Amino acid sequence: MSSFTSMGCEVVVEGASARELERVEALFEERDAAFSRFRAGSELNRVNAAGAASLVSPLFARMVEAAIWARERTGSLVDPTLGAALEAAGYDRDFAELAASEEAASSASAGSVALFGRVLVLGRGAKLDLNGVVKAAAVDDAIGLLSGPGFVSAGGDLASRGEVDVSLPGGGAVRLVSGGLATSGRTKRRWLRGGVEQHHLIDPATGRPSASPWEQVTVCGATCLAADVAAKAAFLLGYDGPDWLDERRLPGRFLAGGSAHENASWRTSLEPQELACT
Amino acid sequence: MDRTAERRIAAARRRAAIAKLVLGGIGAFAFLASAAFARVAYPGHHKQPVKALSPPKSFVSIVRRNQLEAGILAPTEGDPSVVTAQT
Repeated sequence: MSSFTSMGCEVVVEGASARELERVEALFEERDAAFSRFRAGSELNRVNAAGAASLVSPLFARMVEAAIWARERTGSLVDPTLGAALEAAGYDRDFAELAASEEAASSASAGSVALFGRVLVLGRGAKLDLNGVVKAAAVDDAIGLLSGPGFVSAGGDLASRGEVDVSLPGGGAVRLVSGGLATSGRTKRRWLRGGVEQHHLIDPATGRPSASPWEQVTVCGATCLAADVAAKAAFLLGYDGPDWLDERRLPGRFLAGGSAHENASWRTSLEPQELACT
Repeated sequence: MDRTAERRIAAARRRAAIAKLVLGGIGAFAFLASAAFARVAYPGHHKQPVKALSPPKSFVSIVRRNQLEAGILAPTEGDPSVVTAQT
């Protein structure tokens, strides 16, 4: 098992040859260089600074397309244009450099974004934050670089080729047979602003960190991207999250106050399967 | 040549010139009309700006909805080798 740091988190790779590991590291470095909000020369910062219309790289267009897909699939809950709201909440530098501030946090609303081929059009005041989508998509792309069984995990966003046993937040474990597993929550990336706790999961309805009752939500999806998007949406939906996942037959596990609540799809998927004799 | 013959020849030349003019006009009109008709009616000529063939939006949305699919979980059978933690 190998690990390295990228996108502000630890990336763990299992089952990769030395050459494959190099390619995985290069992939994460490429994504971080293009999509980091905290690297001055990133394409994301160039696009946000330009506002209005700009010509973007094919990779950037692909990620924006994925982010727009996520927004459509979640009824605008997982919105890529909440970069300004994150900054208003105080998340304006690398998380490791964030310190408590007496200055009160403010809010900012979501904006509009449209993509026409490689021409990206941002609404006035809108700032992109593609971090979630980019990290999950990087995990999905990285697993494609492995020639044999293994897994790639970035800050807990996990995709596997072959089966892998995964430790869950709050205790317990599960076997990921195929697809991806992602956990979103408010217990790690949090900070104080004006004496009030802030976190990085912004509710687009208020433009402020979500007041969701859940601490962490874990979802299993066909891909890591699907799992990550669904986990964020379920977190933001609060008590409606478990049913929202069940409607899509997505297994979800919700952590609050130290106890775990599993939705029906999660429980069903872990029930022993009866084999029919024919 | 007597004067009568000269008048007849002149009249014939006028009629011929008029006939050439009329036939030329009819030919030009027929060509332009055919070109215009071909542009409007022939399937190889597009009347509106060309749009790429694409599936209906409803179809695309159904396909995309299906992309938010579940993975497969099972009860664990050994010690976990990796952790999913919040991002």
